[in-house]
Amino acid sequence: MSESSVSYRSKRGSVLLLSFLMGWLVVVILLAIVTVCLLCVSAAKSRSLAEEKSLAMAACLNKGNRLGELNHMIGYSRQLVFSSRQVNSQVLSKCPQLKALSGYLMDDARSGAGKVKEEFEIVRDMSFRDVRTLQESCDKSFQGAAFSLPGLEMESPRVEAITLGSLAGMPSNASLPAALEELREHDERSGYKAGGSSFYRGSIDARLPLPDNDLSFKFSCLPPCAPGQAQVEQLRLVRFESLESIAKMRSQCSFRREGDKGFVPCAAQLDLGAWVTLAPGCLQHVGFYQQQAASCSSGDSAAGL
Amino acid sequence: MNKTRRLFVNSKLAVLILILPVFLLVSSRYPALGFKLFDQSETVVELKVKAAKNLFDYKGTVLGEPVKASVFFTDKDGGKGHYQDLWFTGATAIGLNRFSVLSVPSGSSVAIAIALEDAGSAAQVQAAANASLRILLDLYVEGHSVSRLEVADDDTARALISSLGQAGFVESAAVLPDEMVESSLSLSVKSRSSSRLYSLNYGVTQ
Repeated sequence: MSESSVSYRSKRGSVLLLSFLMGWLVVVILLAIVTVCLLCVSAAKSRSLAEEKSLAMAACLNKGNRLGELNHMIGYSRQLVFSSRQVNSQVLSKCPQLKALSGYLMDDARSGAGKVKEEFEIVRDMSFRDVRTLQESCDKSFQGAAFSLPGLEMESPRVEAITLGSLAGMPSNASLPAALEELREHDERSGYKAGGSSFYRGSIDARLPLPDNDLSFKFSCLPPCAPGQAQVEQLRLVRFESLESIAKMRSQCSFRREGDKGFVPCAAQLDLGAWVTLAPGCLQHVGFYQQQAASCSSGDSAAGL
Repeated sequence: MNKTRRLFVNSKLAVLILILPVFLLVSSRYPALGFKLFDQSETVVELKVKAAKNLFDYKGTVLGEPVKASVFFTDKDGGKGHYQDLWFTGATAIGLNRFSVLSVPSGSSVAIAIALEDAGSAAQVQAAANASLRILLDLYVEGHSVSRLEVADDDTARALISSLGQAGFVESAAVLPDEMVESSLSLSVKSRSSSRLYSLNYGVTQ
């Protein structure tokens, strides 16, 4: 037996140390796998929560098809003012003795358009208020997504921002007039018609010809759907890029309108965030984890009014 | 020759004299038939007024409890045509959805038959009055005239006359008998239950 092999064997404890090291390595790898799995589960859970809540917010924006009804009524109000103006002009030329009566009906139609505009503002404010109320209840339901392991802690997610808006290129659910040919032609000439459909474009202020162009008729974007569909069937998730912001709310503040268009939103984007803490004590590393989801609602395409 | 001619004329007169009492007898027993024979060109436009339930059904709305008025007519093939729907809130018209052209035989006189879902509802009576005036002007500019508005009973007729008064119509009874008046438009409101006719004038000048 050589001298070198004896000295090598005399180093006691090396195998034991190796076993310990191997054991620790297995434990660390297992812990890492568990952590990664937990993070994945948590991410999936918070994504599902974000999607669920953004769908609830989108549903809130068109509760009871109120935005769909409003879009239809805006279209009908336009038809009423246009038709009253047409009759008024014909009365002036054919039977001027009735001009006071046609003027009375004309003023009545314009006053009706004022009421519809007032309703538009009420529905818009109601959308912001309802989403704000829903957001307050959100934070409580996010508690389940939190978890804690030695060296890793993930807080329950909270709402970082809510963006309400419309969808780019999406029409409104209101149809162009069926029997008022002159108005239909005016609307097509003015580019109010959504290409290849019989609907008005979304997010437009469809002004009437002179002298009624002082009245505002704002069609909000609302993807048309078959009448009578349950609201849950009218909801869907959309891509973030297609959302055009109308108002934004950042961490617990109130909604701030973006831009001056002021349409009623039909889509909601929810940004969730959670703090993740890795390793205890002085080695602590704190990161911020974000999750987003956007959804939109639809409105009845036929006037179930 | 002259004698033959006189005999022929006399026989024609005799036939007419014989036919007239028979016709009067028939029309008194069957007013609808007599009416049809007398007034071939009358067209009836139906106006159905009802509450638009579940529309704008939320707190804080300014368009709450709207009323819908649907206008139907009989087309030349005898089928029912849907002319338009009108929406009202209170006494104000807020919307119109037109489906077709109001097809009425040229130069004919039109009667508007009004059917209210709830005759006791002031909103529905106001909506009926407003919708009737809109139909009246639509027809007037096309060369037709509206002879009368028909309602179910006298109470509804009174309420309708009161609503039409807001647009400037004056009931004939309100004008003194010895006053000379001129009006731009005359209209009657008929109660179907009592067959009573109320006369209204618009644009009265003395």
